[in-house]
Amino acid sequence: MKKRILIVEDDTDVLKFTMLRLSKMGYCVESALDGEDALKKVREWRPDLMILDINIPKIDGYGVYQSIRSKPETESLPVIFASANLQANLPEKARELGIEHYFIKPFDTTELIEKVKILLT
Amino acid sequence: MTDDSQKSREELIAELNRLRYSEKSLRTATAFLDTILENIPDMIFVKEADELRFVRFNRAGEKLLGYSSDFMRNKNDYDFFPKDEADHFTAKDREVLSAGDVVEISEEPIHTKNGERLLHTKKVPILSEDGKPLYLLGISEDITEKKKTQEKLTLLTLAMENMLEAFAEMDAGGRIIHANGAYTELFGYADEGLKGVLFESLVHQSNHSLMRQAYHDVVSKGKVEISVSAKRKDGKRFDLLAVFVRASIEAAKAGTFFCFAQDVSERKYKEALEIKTDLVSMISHELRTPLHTIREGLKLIRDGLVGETTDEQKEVLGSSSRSVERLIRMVNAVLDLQKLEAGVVEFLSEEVLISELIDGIVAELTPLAAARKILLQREIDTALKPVFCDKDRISQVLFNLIHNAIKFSTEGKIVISANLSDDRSEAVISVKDHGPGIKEEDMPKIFRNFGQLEGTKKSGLSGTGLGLAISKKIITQHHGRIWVESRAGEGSAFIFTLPCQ
Repeated sequence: MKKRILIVEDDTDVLKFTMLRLSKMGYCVESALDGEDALKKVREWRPDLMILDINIPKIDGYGVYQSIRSKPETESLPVIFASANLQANLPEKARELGIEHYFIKPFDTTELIEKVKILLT
Repeated sequence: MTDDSQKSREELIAELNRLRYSEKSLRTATAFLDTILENIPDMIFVKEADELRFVRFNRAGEKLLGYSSDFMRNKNDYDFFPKDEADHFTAKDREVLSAGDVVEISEEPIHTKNGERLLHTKKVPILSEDGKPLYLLGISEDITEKKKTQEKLTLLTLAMENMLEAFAEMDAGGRIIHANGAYTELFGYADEGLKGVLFESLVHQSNHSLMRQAYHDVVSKGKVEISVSAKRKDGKRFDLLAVFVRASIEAAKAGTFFCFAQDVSERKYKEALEIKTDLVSMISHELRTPLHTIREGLKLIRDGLVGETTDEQKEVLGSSSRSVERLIRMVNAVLDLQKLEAGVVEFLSEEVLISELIDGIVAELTPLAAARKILLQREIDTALKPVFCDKDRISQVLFNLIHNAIKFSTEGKIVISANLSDDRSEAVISVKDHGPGIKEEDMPKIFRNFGQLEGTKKSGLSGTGLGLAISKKIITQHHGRIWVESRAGEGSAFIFTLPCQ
């Protein structure tokens, strides 16, 4: 069965390209444009991996992360953070919240693909 | 009664009338004099010449000394004043009377019933027709307050003269009446002063109409601020902030005005620098996201994920990709340099073997060098101990220097050496190529931002033009030094040092 990846990203061009590449690689890809939508899709669609932006509408990436970590059925869902580092001090915040995988935008997709492959094997 | 007696009677009456009239005139004159005497604001007193007892004392005198005229009459100075003061007054009085001449005492302290005062006194002898002294007339002005004001003014002038703010007074046409030390210093005229100099002559011509407007406006507004380009006596320019203040309490009256001046060049420069930093940072961030999106789009096509591409299309895509990669490198370098300049980059300090860093970069760049038939040769001093530095940042410097050397060489070898300095205090790392070398006039340019030299493009390995500027920042922040030794036609050696602990 195809592995499912949920991409939460509000830049539609970045979203389009990331989805395109991952689906061509054989993954089943779904998108969410804001935090509420992301939590709903995690619940109903049950992804195997989530790529999560931080600066997203309604509930931000950290909120989404804490919410899924607090529920037993999603607490072990692998999450890759991908965000610009303008205001939020991502590396520091990541250490604080125990976030293992993150990329500071903009980044090279090759590295992201590598990370996805590792987490889904 | 005879005619004669009749006549003398009439004469007597006429004489009597004349006398009456004279008496009346005299009374009028005395009353007139009294009115003046009693209402004049200065103290007026009259002493008889023998024992110097008061015979006349006006109202201003009563008010000043605190004694009534009746009380004063027939008393002398010893009855009111401390003995030494009375001695002094009496001696002065005697001097005036014996000399028969007016004496002026410009400052005379006196103890009155109401406390100590300061007087300006004029003493006048009144002599009889044969020159004998009859009376002494005294006229005293109370100058206590005037003196205090004067002293205050002197102190204020002293303060103004020595304050750090540049201050001058000018006439309505902008001619300097007086300028304090800071003001003359500011314009470089400390030696000769600025008195009589037109303020306009200190300011660039393009600002003259602005200044004339300010002279005009200050009359009605009371205070006007202008920013102009000023010049010092030695011709050096600076940004001047001048505040004009109307030197008249009465509104809208032309007269003199004050000018406070400040050299704001540094502030202006800092503001400009801040704007530049913000702009660079903003543009770089805003450029990075779309650039990466374009790169990813091109990659998707090249990777064949959105359909087959012809060889020709692949070639076009390859060129586009290379340009995008270059643009990304450039933006990253700008951002990196800006961060280094802003001092927001934190450097790690770990024990590092320089030889290992050199090995790493040499391994990375060997394929590029080999493609250009260039040999990368290492000469490492085995006595070299580890140094404390930021590994990634020093690797970045090594990469820049070796990459540059490859870029400027056509063939031959590049020698990368690391040694301990003679005094053993520094590690000295040098990258020596056999390229065309650097012309003497180009030397100062190369460590500057975008200090790329002619001919870089020809090598086919275009850089960002920021590599050396970034390297210099990194080395400087490590308390090391970086420089170049080169002669046109004989290759170049880029050398940097890192302090050993």
